[in-house]
Amino acid sequence: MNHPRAEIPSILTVLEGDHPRAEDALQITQELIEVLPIPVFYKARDGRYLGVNQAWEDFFSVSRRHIVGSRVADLYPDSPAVAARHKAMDEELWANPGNQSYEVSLHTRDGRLRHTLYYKATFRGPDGRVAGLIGTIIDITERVRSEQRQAIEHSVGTLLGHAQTVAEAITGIIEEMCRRFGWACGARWSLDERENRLHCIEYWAEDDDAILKYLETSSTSTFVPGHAGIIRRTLTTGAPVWVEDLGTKSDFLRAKLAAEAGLQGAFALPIALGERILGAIEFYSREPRPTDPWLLELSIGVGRQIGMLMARREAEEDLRRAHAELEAKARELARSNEELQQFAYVASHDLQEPLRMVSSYTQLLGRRYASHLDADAREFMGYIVEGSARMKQLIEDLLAYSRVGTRVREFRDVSSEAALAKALANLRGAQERTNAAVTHDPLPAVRGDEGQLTQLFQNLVGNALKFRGPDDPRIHVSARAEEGAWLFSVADNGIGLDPQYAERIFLMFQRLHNREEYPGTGIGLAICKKIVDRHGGRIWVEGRPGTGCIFFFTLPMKEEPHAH
Amino acid sequence: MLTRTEGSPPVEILLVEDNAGDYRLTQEALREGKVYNNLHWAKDGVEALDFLRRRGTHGNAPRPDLILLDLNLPKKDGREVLSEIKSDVGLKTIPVVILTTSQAEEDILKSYHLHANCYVTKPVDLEKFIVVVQSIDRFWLTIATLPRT
Repeated sequence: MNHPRAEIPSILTVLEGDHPRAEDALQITQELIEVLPIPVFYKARDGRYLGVNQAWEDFFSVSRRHIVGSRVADLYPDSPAVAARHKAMDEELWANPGNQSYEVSLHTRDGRLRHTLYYKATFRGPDGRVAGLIGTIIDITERVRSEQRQAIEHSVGTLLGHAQTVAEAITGIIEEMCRRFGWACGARWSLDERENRLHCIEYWAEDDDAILKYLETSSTSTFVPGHAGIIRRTLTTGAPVWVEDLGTKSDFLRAKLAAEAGLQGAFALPIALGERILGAIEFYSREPRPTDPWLLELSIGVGRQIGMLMARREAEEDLRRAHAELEAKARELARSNEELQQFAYVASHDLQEPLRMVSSYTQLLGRRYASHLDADAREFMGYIVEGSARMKQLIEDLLAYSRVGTRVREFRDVSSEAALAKALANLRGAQERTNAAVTHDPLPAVRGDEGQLTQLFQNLVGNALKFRGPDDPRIHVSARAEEGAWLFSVADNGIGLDPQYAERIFLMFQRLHNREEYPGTGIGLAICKKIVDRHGGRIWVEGRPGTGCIFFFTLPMKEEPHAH
Repeated sequence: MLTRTEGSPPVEILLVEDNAGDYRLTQEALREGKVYNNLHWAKDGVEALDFLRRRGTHGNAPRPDLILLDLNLPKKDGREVLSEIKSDVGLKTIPVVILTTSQAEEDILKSYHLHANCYVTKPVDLEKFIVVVQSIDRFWLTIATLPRT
């Protein structure tokens, strides 16, 4: 290691001489080689190292004293495969003199994995025959790593994005990691929290019976979580575990099985989502494998990606389940709506028929036997008929209320002015009787059910006519745009109301007056509220006793045609 | 107003109605009316069609001039009866008046789709009921011109 570096000025001295001699030229060459920043070696025809330069010594952490005279196998005592590769390439070069280049990955003495590009060329002796070779080594580790990182990220991304199931994605990723980084097999494990057992979920292996047998045996076994072993430690601590040589690891339960399968190096990485450990993947190599910090870091990244996929699939599954529940509820709702409609129909027909009998036959009795009945009997019969009539009104109002809830017609753009006009036509009798003046501003088109909007106006205006004050009723309907909706108001000069009842009046059967004062079933405003609710709006009332009321409600604006 | 002259045969009315009370009320209403009539009563849809097609005990049934048909009936309901009458060449010209308690929009629409001649809701009030029945009677049997049978 302490060879003096050749000095550039001495080389220049030789070159500047008038007639450089052959020995000078050789010296120049040797000194040039010595100062090159890339590793250079030269070997004799028999494969023995003739010499190396300083950069070579630095690259391998091997002194030239130890290598000159020995062969390539001596350089790689732990990596027979690498030595064999170089030897084979040397043979090829001897057979076809000239030059060659090839890539090879190797571990240097200090355990670092390097990706290298070898350039080798033959040289000839004075007799003109091939005397040996000279080679240079270019360290392409960074380039190879960045290519590998890109490739693995791409394929993992593709697998995660396109696989139908998590299992399919993970099997694909295990295969990809094995093929790219020289693992012989890999398997995913997960922790069953309920049973507190570890299960092998899926695996991939090279086509090798012994290794497949090992994985099958592993996958049919379950393990209790703990700190020993590879998977157990990874799952428990969330940290990756790298075992350079399983033969030296005493707490590995499957050591014997692994040895039988010819597996020596192992590595396990966590599948993590933040702090949550969702599982672990173990990989095995056929040879002992020095810890590779770069691969370790890359693999942890892959584990995180898988974790995110699993979390996303879980979330999708939750969403799917929630959606299914919602659909079931919607079906249930549709069914109960249908039942309600059925009920409404039964109420309309079957409840009214007996009522009609009671009422009609009481009246028939009155007509035919009037002379046989005294005043009391006629009064009682009057109550029967009046009660029946009220009952019929109640049934009809309840029906109208229940019909609002079951959307028969699709919402469309409707003119609220037209709806008001229809409502006023229906109320003409009452309006004329009370000498009422109903006015309105221009009213907008809204999104809704025209029949229901007519009913809404009819109930509100009808309400104003009914609860009129001492003066002739004056009712005014207007609308203005507010916060993306139309705000309607129906203002009257009637008896007004105590603000404390402002909310109660919209509830079913809530009446503030007795029937003798103001007849009614107490359903009209409940129907209004239901109609406005169904249109996604709000209804409320403002007023004081004696000063009239203003009913407010909001309705959605009509749909604007989509701009293109 | 046109009325049938004394001595002409009575008009034949078929009431299809499951409620005896309604049959009686209809009878009362017609009795007070001006049209000389025979009221026949079928208690369900099957019996109504037997009557119209003179089947079983109805071998000698007359062809009605007017049918008053309730919608909700046992065995075969009014909609089916209406549909069969209106698709039967021999019966389709007989005016069919739907006389029912139902005010449901879908019933009204369905009845007219099935070619009911008119749809009337039974009033709760007796006086009104009588007026309604007599109006039907008078309109279809004395005012409207029907094809000769």
